[in-house]
Amino acid sequence: MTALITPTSSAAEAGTAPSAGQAEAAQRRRTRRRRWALGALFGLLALAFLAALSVGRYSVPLNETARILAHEALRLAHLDGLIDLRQTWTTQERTVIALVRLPRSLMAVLAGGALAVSGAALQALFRNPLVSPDVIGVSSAASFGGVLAIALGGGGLVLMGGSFALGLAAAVLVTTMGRIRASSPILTIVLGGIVVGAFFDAMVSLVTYLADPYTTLPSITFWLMGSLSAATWTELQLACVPVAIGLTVVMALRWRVDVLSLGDADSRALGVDPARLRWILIVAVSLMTAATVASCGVIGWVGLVIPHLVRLLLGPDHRTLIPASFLLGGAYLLVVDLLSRSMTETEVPVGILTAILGAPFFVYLLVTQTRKEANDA
Amino acid sequence: MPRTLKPAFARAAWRRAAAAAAAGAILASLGACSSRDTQEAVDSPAPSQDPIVFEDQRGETVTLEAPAQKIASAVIPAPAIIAAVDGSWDRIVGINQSLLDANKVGIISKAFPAALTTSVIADSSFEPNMEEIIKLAPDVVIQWGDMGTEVTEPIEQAGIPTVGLRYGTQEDLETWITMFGKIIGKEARAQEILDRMHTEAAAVTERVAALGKEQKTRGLSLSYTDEALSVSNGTDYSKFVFDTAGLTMVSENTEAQDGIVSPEQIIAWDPEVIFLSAFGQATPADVYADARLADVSAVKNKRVYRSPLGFYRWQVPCAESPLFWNWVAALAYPGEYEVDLRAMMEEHEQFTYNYAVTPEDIDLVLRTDINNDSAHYADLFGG
Repeated sequence: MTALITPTSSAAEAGTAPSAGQAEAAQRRRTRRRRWALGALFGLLALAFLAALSVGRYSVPLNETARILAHEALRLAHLDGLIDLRQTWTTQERTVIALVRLPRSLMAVLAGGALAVSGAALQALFRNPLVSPDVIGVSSAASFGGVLAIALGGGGLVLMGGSFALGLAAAVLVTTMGRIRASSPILTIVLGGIVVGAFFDAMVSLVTYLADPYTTLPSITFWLMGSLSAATWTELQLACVPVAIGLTVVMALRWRVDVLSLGDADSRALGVDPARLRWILIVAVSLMTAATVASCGVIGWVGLVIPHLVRLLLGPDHRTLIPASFLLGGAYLLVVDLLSRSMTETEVPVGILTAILGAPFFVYLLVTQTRKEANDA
Repeated sequence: MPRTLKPAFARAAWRRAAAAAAAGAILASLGACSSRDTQEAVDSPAPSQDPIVFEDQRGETVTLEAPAQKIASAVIPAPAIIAAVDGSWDRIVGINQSLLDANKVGIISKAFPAALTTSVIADSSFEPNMEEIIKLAPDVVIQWGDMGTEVTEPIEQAGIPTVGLRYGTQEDLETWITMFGKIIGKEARAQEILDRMHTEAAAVTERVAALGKEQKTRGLSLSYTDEALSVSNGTDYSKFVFDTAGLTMVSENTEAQDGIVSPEQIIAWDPEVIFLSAFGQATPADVYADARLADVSAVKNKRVYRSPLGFYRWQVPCAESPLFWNWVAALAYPGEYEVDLRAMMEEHEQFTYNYAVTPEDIDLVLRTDINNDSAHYADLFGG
């Protein structure tokens, strides 16, 4: 377990004092390696994206998929008058690619990336490897908001608004709790998160219990299981804004996250106000989590497993960890969703698949880390 | 050491003796403080006729001393079927919350105003509200027999005969009707309803067969919401309906009943006609507005229809199922399958519920307000 609490090694690197030239060379090497790694992960994401676009229950030949994409791109750029692409595809094929798979795949990237980044940020924030958006209660609160919206007959924007409002409320509540007991804010926040999460879980159960079993309950159940099947361009646009804002904030602050993971006293010594930074990050993470919950329901495990995997591959430096988590999280959810919708005629909800794949993988991670640790010792 | 222990023992003994005395005093005062007479155990009256004995769908033997006068049902659609066998709502004393909600929408309250004020004995969890049931003192309670003993045992332990039902097929529906006939002592009437059902099923199938179609119409039973598109499969009652009315069920072999499907799966199936669930709120217009489904034949040709809700929702096994078979067949083969559904509804509801439907009732049941925008609907079922 201890091996998973890794963010300290960058501090160790900073602590050694090699000559200026050596340090510079090492720095350059690290930068180069980081670029390579990010490039490779981007390639992986692109590959997964192409696979997601070309596989599904309705068969569309690969070349037609490419032609449809080119046609859509030209149309969006208003260049379709200049370059005339002969229409060789059927309208059904165009619908499948442009209206079903494309928004859905983009949504998978967005949601997977946002969840993984949220997980990575929170793990650093709380210096606890087991933290993910569901631990600080945001997921549960956002679920309750969404479930309430469905029960009251709302969808789309209402659902998104309900999830977001309650998700943010939970985050504010939890961070405020952290301020009350200033001596150990992190512990208070984690405990507060568990309490808030449990409370909202109970509220979700209450709404589920009261829902009509034949009219509203199925919608609620489908939504809670987590599925990307409802992804449309409108939904994607709705989810895009909060995720983009949250992501920008976390990406911009990723340099300081490293400092934060050193502990509050050291952060303060290095000129970073840990309380304020933590607050900003929590709001940003809530924004992203609520947006994903609203558009795809609760998809567990991505926020937990992906950051660990990236840390295993690339080390604990948050400058790399955060963008890499986005890329790998996006690719992972793309592949899982691809399985979810193409294995059988009816979909296996993606939340179930991430759990089935995530749990054993996490055990594997634990075992290999412990073994590595034993070998090192 | 013993010096400190001894007083402790003594104190404990004293305390025990005091507690015993107090308990004795409370018991003595309880015995004296009721002004009521001692309650004699009530002897059940000698049965005036042979008891009714039958086996329910759990395989349990149910015994009733006499035809039930008061019936409570946690099973949502059962009261509407019992009312059909009885020709009245008079015996129904308790229903499920979901049925009460449905009763506010359909036409059942016009025939039986009491259907809006019947007590609720269970909700979506089907767990019986025992306090309410004991207060209502029904002669029999209808409950699901396939949802575990937690939902049946409390009722049985209260000494109330409990009939366990199983959900799903036309055979199950027919078994229900037969059992309900036995429960209220109207077996001949139950048989009459069943005979009519058999005749009508055969007639629908025969009329469709007479059209001599090489290709059956491809149909889909869909529940449409913003959250998910879910479809019925071959285990659902709609399979029987599609078979009777001569349709191919495109989603017959899907793995999960009410499972979620991707829009592209629906494009791949390309159903020619889509029946929306009467449980949902979605209208045909919602489906027509969904760009993802624009190329599906049923959407292109505007053949999406919301299923009717009469005395109850037609799409589930119910006393109005024969009307549903005709509605489906008429929409699957418009202009070819000949049926005057409005006249048939008048006759059927009169026979089943002893109620004369008005033209407004029929419009409400058939949801002409939302279905008339779809192809053929006004021609087939318009006034």
